[in-house]
Amino acid sequence: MRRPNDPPVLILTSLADGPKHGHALAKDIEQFAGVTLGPGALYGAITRLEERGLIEALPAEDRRRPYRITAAGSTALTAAVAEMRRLADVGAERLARSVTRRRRLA
Amino acid sequence: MTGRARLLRCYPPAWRERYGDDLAAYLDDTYAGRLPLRAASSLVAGGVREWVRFIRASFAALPAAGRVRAGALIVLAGWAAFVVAGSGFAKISEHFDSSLSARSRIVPDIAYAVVQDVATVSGLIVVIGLVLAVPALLRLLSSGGWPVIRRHVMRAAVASAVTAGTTIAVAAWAHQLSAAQRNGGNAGYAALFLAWAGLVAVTVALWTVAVIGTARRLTLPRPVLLAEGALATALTLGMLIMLVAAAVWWAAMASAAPSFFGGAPGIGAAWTPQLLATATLMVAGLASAAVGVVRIAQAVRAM
Repeated sequence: MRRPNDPPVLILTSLADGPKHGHALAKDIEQFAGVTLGPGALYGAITRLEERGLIEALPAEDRRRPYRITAAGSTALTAAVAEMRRLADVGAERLARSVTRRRRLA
Repeated sequence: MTGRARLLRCYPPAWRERYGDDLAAYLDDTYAGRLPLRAASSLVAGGVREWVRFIRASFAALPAAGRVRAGALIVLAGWAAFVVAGSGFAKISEHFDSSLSARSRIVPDIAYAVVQDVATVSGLIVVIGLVLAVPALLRLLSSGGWPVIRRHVMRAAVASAVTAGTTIAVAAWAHQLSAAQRNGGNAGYAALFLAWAGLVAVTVALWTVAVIGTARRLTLPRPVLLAEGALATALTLGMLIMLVAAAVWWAAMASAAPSFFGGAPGIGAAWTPQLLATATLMVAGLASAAVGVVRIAQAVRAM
């Protein structure tokens, strides 16, 4: 889980806000990340996350099965967010330095 | 069955059991009416991914001996695809000698002879592999295993009978036609020939399924398993040689007698649809066999 637009990161981020079923998950991800996951990619990622114990299924409502993030999922998301934040900080710092250098040269 | 239900069948049964209803509800909630192509292709790709994972997981769960057998059966499935492709190659290359001068004949002749000889050796390898499994098959049958394999075997036997009958009809008709009529000049014969080719492919596929279904239930002693693994490796090597020889034959023919393929001169024009389908099937068969050999090598190391 490295890139911010990885389906597992997106799903964990969405579920960090509370349990959701497939459709609500996809809508939420589209809203906060602007990413449209195809049904194959969405359910592939759900399968993988559930196998790794990062999310769990709640009892089905009608045919819809809501999923919620587990403690292990929260830990994995915290680590992924920290890693992304570190990369963002490095990027921002380097950009700031390059702007300063350009100003000096000008 | 609706289009959505058909697409869900791209997934392994165990996966469908777990997520099928949920995914169907998601599709109903998200897409009204017909599924967009993008969603359909995402489902197909997802289904293929889950099948690959399922097969890998099933393979990994097997003991080393089971993995050797499974690897050998993957090679056998690849060889079956190669046999069907080989029939296509035999048809494409019919009477190729008559399109060549004595001088330009040397390379295609040698390449064609290599394909034929290695095909014979490969057939023998498969027969030896089957013979080695006969004692285990007899043990299976004597312990009441026939009902378990009967459906597969009977289906393949019926397909063989139908194919044999069609072969006689095709051969009888072919004898009454000229070479030009046999090669596209007679639409009825061409249709029957295509149907016959399809039947041959189905029969080979059904026998392969029957052999795989039966072999999975056999208890093979370790020396037999190792021999089957070695034979499967030799068979894959034979397929590689045949593929290379067929490619050499094609390149030599495209260069010396491009008109043989019915197109304009030049290598590009020598890619007829039949040749493309044959080459694709050969490469797919060899790729499958190569996967089987890698699995065998890994399993043998773990034995």
